[in-house]
Amino acid sequence: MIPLIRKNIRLLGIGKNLLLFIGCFLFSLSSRSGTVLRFEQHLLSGTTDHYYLIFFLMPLMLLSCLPLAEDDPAYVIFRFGSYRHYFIRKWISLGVLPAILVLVQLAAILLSGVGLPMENTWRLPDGSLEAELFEALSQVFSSPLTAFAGCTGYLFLGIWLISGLCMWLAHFAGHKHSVRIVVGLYVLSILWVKVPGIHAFPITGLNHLLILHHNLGIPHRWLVTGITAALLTLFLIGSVCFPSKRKLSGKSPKRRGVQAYYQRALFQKQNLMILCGVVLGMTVYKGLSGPELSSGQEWVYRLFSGHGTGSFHILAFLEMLLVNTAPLYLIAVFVEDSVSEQSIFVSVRSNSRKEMFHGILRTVIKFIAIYPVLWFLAGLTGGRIFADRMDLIAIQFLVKCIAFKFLDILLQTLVMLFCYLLTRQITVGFLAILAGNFLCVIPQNWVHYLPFGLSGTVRVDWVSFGMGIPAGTAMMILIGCLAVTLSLLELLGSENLLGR
Amino acid sequence: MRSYIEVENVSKRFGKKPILENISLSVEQGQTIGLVGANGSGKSVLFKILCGFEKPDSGSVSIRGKQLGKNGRDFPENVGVFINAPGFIGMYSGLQNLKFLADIQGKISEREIREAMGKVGLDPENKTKVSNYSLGMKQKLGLAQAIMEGQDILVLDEPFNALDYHTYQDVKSIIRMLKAEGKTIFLTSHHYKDLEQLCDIIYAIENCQLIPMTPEIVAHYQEGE
Repeated sequence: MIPLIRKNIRLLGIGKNLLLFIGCFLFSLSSRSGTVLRFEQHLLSGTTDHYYLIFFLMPLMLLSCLPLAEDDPAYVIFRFGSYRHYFIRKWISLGVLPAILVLVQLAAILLSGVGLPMENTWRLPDGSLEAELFEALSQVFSSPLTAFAGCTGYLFLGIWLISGLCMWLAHFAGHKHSVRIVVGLYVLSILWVKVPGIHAFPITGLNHLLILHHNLGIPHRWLVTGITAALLTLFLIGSVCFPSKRKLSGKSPKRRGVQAYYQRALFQKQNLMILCGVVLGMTVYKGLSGPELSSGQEWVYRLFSGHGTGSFHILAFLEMLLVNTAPLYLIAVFVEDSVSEQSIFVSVRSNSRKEMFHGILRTVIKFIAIYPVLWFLAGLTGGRIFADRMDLIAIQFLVKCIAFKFLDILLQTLVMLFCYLLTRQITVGFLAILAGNFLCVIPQNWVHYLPFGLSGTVRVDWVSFGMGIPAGTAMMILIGCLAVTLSLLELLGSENLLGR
Repeated sequence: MRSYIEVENVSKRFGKKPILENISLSVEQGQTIGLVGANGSGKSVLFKILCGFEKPDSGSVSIRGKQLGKNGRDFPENVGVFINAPGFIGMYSGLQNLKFLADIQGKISEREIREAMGKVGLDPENKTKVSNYSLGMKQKLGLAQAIMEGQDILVLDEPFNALDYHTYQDVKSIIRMLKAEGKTIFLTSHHYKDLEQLCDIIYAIENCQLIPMTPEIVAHYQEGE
């Protein structure tokens, strides 16, 4: 255990202690100015200074604690026989942290109180800011000096307990998540201090574990803190009887599969930003173009208008292409990267081509599913801005259009993948989609039934103008084509995904 | 008894062009095998076949007694691959990229990843995005991913490509270290001298055939340098 203590002292370093000393000294000096406290009262005042404890000591303590809380290398842990033994010994050795922090704080407060008259009494000068706090503490302690000892001891135990919690978090949640959780707990402590009414909740924050007087003056507060601290201690020690074996043996919690990797590759921030940009840009463009809108339904109709059949309107066509092919382009780039030989290092980590193919397919479908959600939000928000209102009928219409949009884009994506599997050229797939969308300009009746671009409201007879095909028929076409394409992909996918 | 890695009568052609014809190779555990050959001779194709990325037109590959493409496994288990500069996700750091890769199989924790990065001389704390890495750093990261899960077979295709002198020496030392650890390594390099220094056996691929080195072939490659 001695080497562990030495290591902890080394990791703690001088810098943070020096900072604590200077900070504590300055806070104590500031509390000394203006009022004439007795030395014992000054000690207590310095130890219970609210702002010092919450905004200086606590973050510094957490900053000191987190690096110490990290598990040692496996070969060190194995020397202790079990993780539980290691955990307990390390926790005990971490007692050095509160000891040093409390001693440094004590030194700073003692130094700042030099020259003050000695009198161990609760009697304060008139107008003293400490009156309320001292009143509460005097209910529990007989004198300021005993209160000072009590608060200091409580702080010592609190830091020790929190260091154990940090160790536990670092072991089970890993460094990154433990930092997040600890920051969250710290924020909760600040909220507890700053937000009125939160005191009524039986929640124990870090502040309750560190600051004794935060447990005073609120009914059952002591009980809640006491029970929490006891349960936490039992839980920490009890749970390490079943240590995360992955940590000891180097195993991570579960096999996430190749799909998780693909999701990270496709759901990159810039890809999502591009989708958001297209949706936002098109929404604003549609909102500002054309005559004033008289209803939410009209807005939705305009937003998803698309391009009609049998004629060619350059702007409408470009709008449709941009809306329909933005996610497709991103997917095409992703697929090309995922199946290229530069991704062999990913492939060899999966079991089979089938797993790879399904990973890619599911990732692509998930990515496409984001797009209608964005359009739904754009439709709702745009309706409020450009059409003043979105009533229930407009929202229902919006949902129908979104469903069509999802099916349309999904179909186009699957067709693009299918073309890729046939030709091993994703560019060919992308061009095939562009060509498929372009077919709608042919002045023939059959093009009404072309699945590409069928999500455009001008292609479907939504408002009984006699334009477009019935919605039911359009839906059947999209679902039918999707079923066929999916079956073909399933048939060809695994075998043709990589080199044959 | 079967060898650790067994390539039997493997042939591969792209369209009408034959690349490999009836290639056979037996490799024992812990051996380091070097491959030399002109550009386009089929070295990388053979490596891709070993990794299951390409399927042979005929013949078979067995690794640790298990034939690739059988029993639902297209890719060999526990093989580290470095072929053609790995395409990492550019917007993440090296450590993050390796974590994402490690998550696929869930065999190792962050500690092993950090150790692997340390082994190849990369700082796990470096938050630089991989897209901003130098070529040497990318090569090292590629090596780190190939060894981080304790892979005992390594397929390293041109790991010295486009490296500056110091990084080249570093990568060479890493391969020596891996060899000393008993890994079975397949290696190619444009420089015959590298293979001579690092490999137990060197083969040349010429005219779609895998041929053992003869003094004439050695002289040919040495002249080429």
